[in-house]
This record gives sequence, C-alpha cells and structure tokens, in this order.
Amino acid sequence: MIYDQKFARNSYSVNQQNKIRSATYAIIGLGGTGGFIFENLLRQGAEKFILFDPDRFELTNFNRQILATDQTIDKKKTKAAVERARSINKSVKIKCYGKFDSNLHNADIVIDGSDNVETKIQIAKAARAAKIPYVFCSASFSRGIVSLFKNYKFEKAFHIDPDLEYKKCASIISPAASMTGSLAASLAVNYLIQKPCIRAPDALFFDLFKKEIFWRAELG
Amino acid sequence: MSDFFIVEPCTTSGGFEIKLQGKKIDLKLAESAISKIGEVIANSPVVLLAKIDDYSVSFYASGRMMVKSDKKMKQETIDKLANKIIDGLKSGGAI
Repeated sequence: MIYDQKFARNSYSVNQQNKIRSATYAIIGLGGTGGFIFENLLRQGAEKFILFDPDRFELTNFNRQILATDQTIDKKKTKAAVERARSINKSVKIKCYGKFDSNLHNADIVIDGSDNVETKIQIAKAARAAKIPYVFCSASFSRGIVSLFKNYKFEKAFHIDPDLEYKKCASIISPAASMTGSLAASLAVNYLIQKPCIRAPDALFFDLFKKEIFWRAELG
Repeated sequence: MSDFFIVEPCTTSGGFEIKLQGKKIDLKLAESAISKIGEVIANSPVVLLAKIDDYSVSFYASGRMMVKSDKKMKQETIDKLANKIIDGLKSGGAI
C-alpha cells in the first residue's frame, strides 16, 4: 500500500511497475554517475540491488556525488547507499560488495557507474558471460555518453585494446554526472519494461556546454 | 613500505593515498601532532586538512590520508613524505 502511494506518480502500468520492482540491479560504482543511477532507480520503485564499491566518501567527491555529504564523509559508499535507500523505501533488499570481481550474483541487469575503462571492460565481459544487458555510461567534465550492450561487443564498439592502460578523468561537473546517471537508470528501466531504448552500436551523447546538447551517433 | 601502512598512487592526480592497516586516526590528537610538522588548515570530527611540505593532506578518521599534487610525484618524495606524516602521527599518539 505504502509502496503503491510512494511510486504512483511514476505512471507506469501495474505490470511495468512490478517488473521494475522485482528486477535485481547490479550497480558497479557509487560515485558521480553511480550515485545518480542508484537514486533514480530507487525513485522509480526498484527494490533489489547488488552494489559494488570499495571506497569511502572524501572531500573531493562533494562537487558531483549525490551520496557525499557531511554525514557520509569517510563512510563506506555502499553503507551510505544502504542508508539512503532505507530512507526512501524500507523494503529495499541490498547486497553490498567491495571491488567488482566479475560476479554479478544473478542480477537481471548491470549498470555501469565505474570511472575507468578497465572496469568497464570487466563489466562488459561479466555481463556477456551472465547473458544479461550491460548499461554503459561515462561522464567527463561537461560531457556524457550512454548505451546498452546486449549482443554487441563493448570492446569492438570502442576499439579498445585490453592491454593498454586508460586514464581516469577526474574532472566532472555535477550536472554531467547526474544527467549521465539519470539517463543510464532510465535506459535500464526502459529495457526491462520493453520501451524503446538506445542500443549499441548506437549511443546517446551530450555536452552541456554545446548549443545542441544531445546527439545520437554510432560507436566505433 | 611497511606492514603498518600502505601507499597507493592516486589514479586521478599526481598525489597518493596512505592507508593504515587496521588502525584509525584520532583526529583530535592528530591536530597537535600535525601542527609540529606542518600547518593545520581545518579540523572537523571526521576530517583534518593540513599543509605539509607545501602539499595538501586530508586526514580521515578511518585511517586514510590523501596527499594532493597536480604533478606526478617522485617515489622518493612520496616515501619521504609518507614516513614524515606517519612518524608525526605516531609521536603525537594519534595512531
């Protein structure tokens, strides 16, 4: 009853809302994009999560990470996420893990909140092995990109050489992190309730500093 | 470097992170300890900010210390600074 009232304004059909509620979402990383992925899934009524993040909140997270507050500083990100979730929906069931070890624990979908290419490749491989969709997203400064990989190989889309080292990008403004995370969460839900969604090799790009903020292009 | 703490280079900047192994930092005691080897900029119940050898260092009660640097630091400089910080905290009874 409380669940129905809390999420009534989503305006999904009962069947769609049940699908969102019953699915298990794996989120890798609870930082800039991952925090917003989590928040948006919670607000859409998702209740089952598998969260991965080995880190704790620190001062440099405050500019863009929704879970970083004076109350959560130095706290494990997974613990802060559980507390946040329980403040929104007491029925949530969350399993927390540290560093992602390629085990997706029977999730129905995996959403990428990681901040480095090595982990993204690892997530893509794990998703293929588990035969579940991988919602890829990445944010950098004012830009972002999202897409969903099901049958298309992630490494092919980005011409990635797994032996090369890729650097993290440290600079991200909050609107770019929140936009990217929100789009990724929306993509995951759209896939689950069988609404149209962008799929690799196509991807949705945005740059908040451009006149035309959004565009769609083929990867690779 | 030591079985007491580990040092990891920061992946997003030229700085590094010191993690104490199974120890926490008493930030109240750290304030006076660090003021002997550098300048304490700010202190709160969960984080202490200081300037040591011109580097910004954040101390967290959980036992982590983040040393910020725009440029990649030499290993020798990292080792020297990490030991200076740890020795400073130890002598002040903060760890």
